[in-house]
Amino acid sequence: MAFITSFIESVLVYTTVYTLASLGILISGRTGIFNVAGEGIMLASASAGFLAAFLSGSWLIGFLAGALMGAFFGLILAFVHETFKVNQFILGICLVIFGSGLSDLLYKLVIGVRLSAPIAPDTLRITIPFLSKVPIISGFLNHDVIVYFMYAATFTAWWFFYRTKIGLETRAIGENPKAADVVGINVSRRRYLATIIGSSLIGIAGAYLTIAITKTYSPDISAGRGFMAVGIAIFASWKPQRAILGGFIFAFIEVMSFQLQIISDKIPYQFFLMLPFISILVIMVVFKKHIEFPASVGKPYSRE
Amino acid sequence: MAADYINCKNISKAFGVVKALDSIDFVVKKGEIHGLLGENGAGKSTLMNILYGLYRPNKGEIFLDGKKTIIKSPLDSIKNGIGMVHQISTLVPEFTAVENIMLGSEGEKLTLHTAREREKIKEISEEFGLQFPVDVKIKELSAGIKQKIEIVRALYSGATLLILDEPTTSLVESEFQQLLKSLKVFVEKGVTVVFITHKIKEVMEACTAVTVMRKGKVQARVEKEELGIEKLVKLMFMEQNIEVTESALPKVNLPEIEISKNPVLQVKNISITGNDTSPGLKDISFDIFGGEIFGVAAVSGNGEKNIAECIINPSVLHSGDILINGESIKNNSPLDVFAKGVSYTPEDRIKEGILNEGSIKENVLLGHQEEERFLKKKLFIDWNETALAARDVIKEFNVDTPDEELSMRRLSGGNIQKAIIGRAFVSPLKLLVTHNPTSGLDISTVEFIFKKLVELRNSGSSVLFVNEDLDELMIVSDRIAVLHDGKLKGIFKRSEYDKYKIGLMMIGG
Repeated sequence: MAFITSFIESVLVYTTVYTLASLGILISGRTGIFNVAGEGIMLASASAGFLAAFLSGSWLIGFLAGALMGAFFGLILAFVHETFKVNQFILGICLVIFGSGLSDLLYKLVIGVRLSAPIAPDTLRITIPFLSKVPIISGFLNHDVIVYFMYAATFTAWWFFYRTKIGLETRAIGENPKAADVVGINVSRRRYLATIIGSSLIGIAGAYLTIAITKTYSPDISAGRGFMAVGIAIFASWKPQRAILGGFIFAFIEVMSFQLQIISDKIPYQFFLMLPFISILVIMVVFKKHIEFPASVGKPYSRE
Repeated sequence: MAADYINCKNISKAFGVVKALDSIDFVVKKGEIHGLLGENGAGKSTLMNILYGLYRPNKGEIFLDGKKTIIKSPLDSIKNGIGMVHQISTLVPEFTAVENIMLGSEGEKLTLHTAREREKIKEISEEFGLQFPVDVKIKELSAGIKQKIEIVRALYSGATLLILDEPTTSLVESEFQQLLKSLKVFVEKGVTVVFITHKIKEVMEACTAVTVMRKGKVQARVEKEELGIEKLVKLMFMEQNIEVTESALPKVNLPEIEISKNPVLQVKNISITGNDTSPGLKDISFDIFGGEIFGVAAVSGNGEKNIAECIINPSVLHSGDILINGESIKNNSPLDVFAKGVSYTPEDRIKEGILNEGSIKENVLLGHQEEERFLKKKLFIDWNETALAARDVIKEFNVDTPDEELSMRRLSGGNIQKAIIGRAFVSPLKLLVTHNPTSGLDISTVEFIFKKLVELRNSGSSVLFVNEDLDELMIVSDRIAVLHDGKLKGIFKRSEYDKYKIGLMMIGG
């Protein structure tokens, strides 16, 4: 029982990363902006968030810096796309490369080379009386504040998209921007907002890697998770409630692959490292018929 | 005399170097059903899109109720009581009518009162006599219903001026009559209407005043008592020497000729599986003979695209057989079909008909690329021969271009269509399959295309003419087949043509 509980606990840590990042991607996707720059944003925010947390000694400032770095990327993405109508995918890949370079550069400029790695301050932990002691359930509830933030973000996103008029309007933009435009909705402004807010969530996911999980920075720390998040957003058909499910499934596979690496000595550990990436391919093929896209995702919109 | 409700003064608009509107003065009075008449490309929609705030004019002023008003976006126009129903549906296909109508309106944004809004929408639709299912996804509704929903959306946000952009494009005659009744109700309830159309007959039936536009300019405002078909024809087409019908379509002479003994095309019990956008085809059979233009009438999305496509690409057939000159083409590739003397001009000329970046010469070669005439040593393309063919097309079909090397995307819609039809004539043609070849083109181009189809027919070949405009079909077809929901509803001979009856059949009546 204790093993299962602690297993769930580790799964939830990675669920947080995947869910926040894929929420970020699907929020802008709902307005038609396909943000494939997730990997770059996570890397840049992992570095910026860690440095801010380390220098200030405050986890909160660290996560704010991560979110801010994400917002900055979102602003670039929205600005270049809305102003110059550059292809979203090309733009996204450029931002991945930019983010990857920026993350190492920032770290080297601020920290340089040290013998012992700098360590981030502890993130605030929240335990819920009684519930956090029940086996299995405590795996979901015995965590730092960002995990709870992930729960709240998922719920808020669901509530926003399906229980508010502004959310209905946002979904309308992703389906048919012209339909939104002719009823007086400012398509461009909504796309900016969604991309910036979405990217800051991805930024928080990136900062979570360094501040909470590894507690220090190393190059290429997100290791493809930003791309996995794109896959999860697609798997989730751009629905928040399914993004958290997808996040949990892939976190489960990832944590399991860690465990299997320890247990098995016959199969090379690289095989297990590959598992999450293979499983997303398999899941995409299996669930192909259940995947829906907002009709305008990836397409620029202009009136004339 | 009613007061001026809308007064556009000196409006000009250019897209790049193309002048779309040139110093337009346009007046609509309160309580009018105002016809905005002009042929395709005259600038009617551009002017109304400016009034609705979708386009910004380069010059000019707009006065609403005598007050100068600056309209920067649809939000401004909606606030000023302007509503517009666009030519192409602007509803979200995945949403229901209620969700669509709620979008954008003022008020509380952080809640969703679907039930309350539903009642309000039902009230409005009852008041104006526009009924539709409110909780069905738009993608499952017909074009006529979608239009009602768009009208109610405009009324819901308080429109006192309703602009209808070519509202009859996808309506059949009985639906048009229904729309006429609704327009009268709107006026009774204090809504002014602008009715954009290129059909003189509709203006005569519907409108109380008309503004005629031509090539980006206003020709004249005609009051009700002065309305007359001849006068409008003259204003619309000016010096152009084209005989037109009441629907402002070119008159074409269709001489009696002998049709061939054996059918050129035999379609035998074919079925095609449907999908999201089409019901497919269900057990359809017909023959087309040489010397015949065979029209297919259908409201868009009833399987008419499948009819055109399955002859070119028979591999989509689920069952049944297609024969050309008695030979089955069931297992043929498109190139095999082309080699039998068949050619095709697709519905969407830009997306399906051409390589946008390719030259006219390269585009003319498409579909003929494996013909011996265009090959050297059976392998390499003979560009000299291709250029000759392209020059022939340009000359025969009056394609307006300096030479055959010009990139296709630099041609106008009409010239692209002429080049596509010209391409079909490059090799001897027994059957031409053509889908909406005239949509969006000006009258002289429409006349030109009609004449080419009739020439082909008179030479003993056949044409399968799939078209969404019934007026056009009735002008140039020897027979018309009606398609609804993937089923063949009937075939009419020329002597049996009845616009109302065929129209009813097209909507399943």
